[in-house]
Amino acid sequence: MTEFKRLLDHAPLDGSDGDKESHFGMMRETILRTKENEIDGIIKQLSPAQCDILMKYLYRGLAAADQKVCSVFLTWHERLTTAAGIGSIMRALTDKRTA
Amino acid sequence: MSSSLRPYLQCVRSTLTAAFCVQNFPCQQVERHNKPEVEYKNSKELLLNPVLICRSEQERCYIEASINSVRISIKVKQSDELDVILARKFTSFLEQRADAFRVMRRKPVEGYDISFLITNIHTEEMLKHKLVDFICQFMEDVDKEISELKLSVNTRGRAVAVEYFQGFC
Repeated sequence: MTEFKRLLDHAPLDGSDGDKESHFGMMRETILRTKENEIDGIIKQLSPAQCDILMKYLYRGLAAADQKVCSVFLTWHERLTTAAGIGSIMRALTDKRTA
Repeated sequence: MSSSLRPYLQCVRSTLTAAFCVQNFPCQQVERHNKPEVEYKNSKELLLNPVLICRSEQERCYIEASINSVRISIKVKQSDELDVILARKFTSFLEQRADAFRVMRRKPVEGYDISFLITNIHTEEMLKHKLVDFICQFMEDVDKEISELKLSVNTRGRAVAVEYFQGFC
């Protein structure tokens, strides 16, 4: 949980592509390691800004074509949308500071 | 795998609901013209971040949004060569009748099977949530259609072969 908050707070949204790639790798590993019953608990503890950053990472993860990874990310996306709302998707689409 | 179909469609549905915030925006380059900005991509400030939602290596949905239009491209699952042929024939059949669909694009985007272009005029004349429903229902049904087509091709082939070889037995 603290690992999540640390990763989301230090997300290099304005950084170089290399920084973003490595940070996304860490984010992906953390998401894949979490168990399904812990997802709701984690999302509940995030602030709105952190939810938005997480949503950007989810979309980045969904772009990778791999069935196992995608099914996990799709579950996360569903839970996050229920918690954070369509607004966080909107902000992920419009914000030029991408994950 | 139907286990990930529902979250995949749900993800596409919520992304589309967010992306369908389109309004009229006249062309900035040519006066008195009104173009779907997602097709021309002349000005970066009018485009939203494109989003790619993959269910697996073979099934993808690419959503590009802009200020006055949204383009949705779908890649249908094709497991073998027969599926590829059937999908191509089915989608070209639909694309030839794109006028009747109104929101369909006549040519799919490179790398995808079928594309939809939805502009502010469509969202003004039609209901946004119904458009989203249509796209999601389409994605669900096209898979079923292609498996039905495959089944009927195999059944017909088998029936023809049986009839033919009866003359030799």
